[in-house]
Amino acid sequence: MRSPLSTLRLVVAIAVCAFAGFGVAVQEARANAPMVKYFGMHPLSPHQGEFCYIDAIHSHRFVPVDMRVYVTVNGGGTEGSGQLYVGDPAWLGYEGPKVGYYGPHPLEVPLAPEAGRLFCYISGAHYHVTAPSPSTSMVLKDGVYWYLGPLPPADVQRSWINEVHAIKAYVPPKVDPSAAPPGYRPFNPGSLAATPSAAPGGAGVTPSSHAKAAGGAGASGTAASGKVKAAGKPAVGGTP
Amino acid sequence: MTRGLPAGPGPLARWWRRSAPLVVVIALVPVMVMGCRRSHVAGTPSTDMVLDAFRDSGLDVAGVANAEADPWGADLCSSGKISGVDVVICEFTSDAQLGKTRADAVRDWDSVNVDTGLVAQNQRTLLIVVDRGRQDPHGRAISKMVTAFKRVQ
Repeated sequence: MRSPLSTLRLVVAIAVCAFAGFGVAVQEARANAPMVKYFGMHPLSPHQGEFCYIDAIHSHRFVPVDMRVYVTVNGGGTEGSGQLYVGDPAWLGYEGPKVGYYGPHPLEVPLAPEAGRLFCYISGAHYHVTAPSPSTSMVLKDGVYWYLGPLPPADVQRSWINEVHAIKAYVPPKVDPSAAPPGYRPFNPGSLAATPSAAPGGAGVTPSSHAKAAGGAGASGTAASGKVKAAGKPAVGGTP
Repeated sequence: MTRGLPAGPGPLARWWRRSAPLVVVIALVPVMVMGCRRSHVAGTPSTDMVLDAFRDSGLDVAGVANAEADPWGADLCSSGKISGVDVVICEFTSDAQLGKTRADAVRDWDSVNVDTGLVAQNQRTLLIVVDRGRQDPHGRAISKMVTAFKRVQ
């Protein structure tokens, strides 16, 4: 009959082997997960203030956690498709030079010139890392850029970006919407009927809407847009 | 008599007999030095220029050394670690080979443990950066490298 001590040894040996095997399995699983291509800077999971500052096309072994702030763009040629962060970088932890905007406007994507014309659907005051190219349709007034050109098509899924909560430290650019430049037309980036929960969404949203909503960041969701693969309604996981 | 070499009992011949070994050594030194130095690919930023640009950006490039170019299908390569991430810089004479190496590098990331990977091209010079183990979690060092790399002309 086996003694209790040898039985214990056997159990420990089995446990050690199982643990080692589990480790190998995890390593293999990690290696087998596909790399995801990102076009430029983007927040890092779980969207609580960590940011990736690589301003070039690069790959990570993780998928975006909140598709409301990404669009899938085609970089063309050898680049293929990847994720482009279209939110306000400062919402989710970016620290660095930034430029103020008010309302939706065309987005410039030098890393994916073949992506076509893209719009930012953020209502109200927000930031981007770069200033727009000189254009008669982009007017700088009171420290922020206003878009005076043809309005983009309404896009329900893209408008969900306005539900994303910024981190607590976020302070939007100070803007008085009533001081908009002549010719500025407020724009509701989504369809009101289709976005019952898009509370601060439409035009005329207060500049501090994201700051008010601050507190916790990140959410998991699956929105999309333009050349984006559409998915279901985002499940807001951040602090409401 | 050997053509071109002084011979006979004259002073020049005596000088030559005494000094010939020294002259040969002096003549060979530049050849030996040139032989040790790698010849870069013309018309594209050299690995040395890229490393100088990295250094100017505040990156420590002491961990980068000359590397075998054959495994990368390149003409000349340097590789090593900068800020904990693996860096390979290669010069190519062939655009087709550059494209193949670029595609192969990206494809390989799917089967090895890479957390962050980046390939950038400046003319016919390729920069491959691979972060294993999240040594540069916010990509600040990688961002510096890419910015410096793109500026090199």
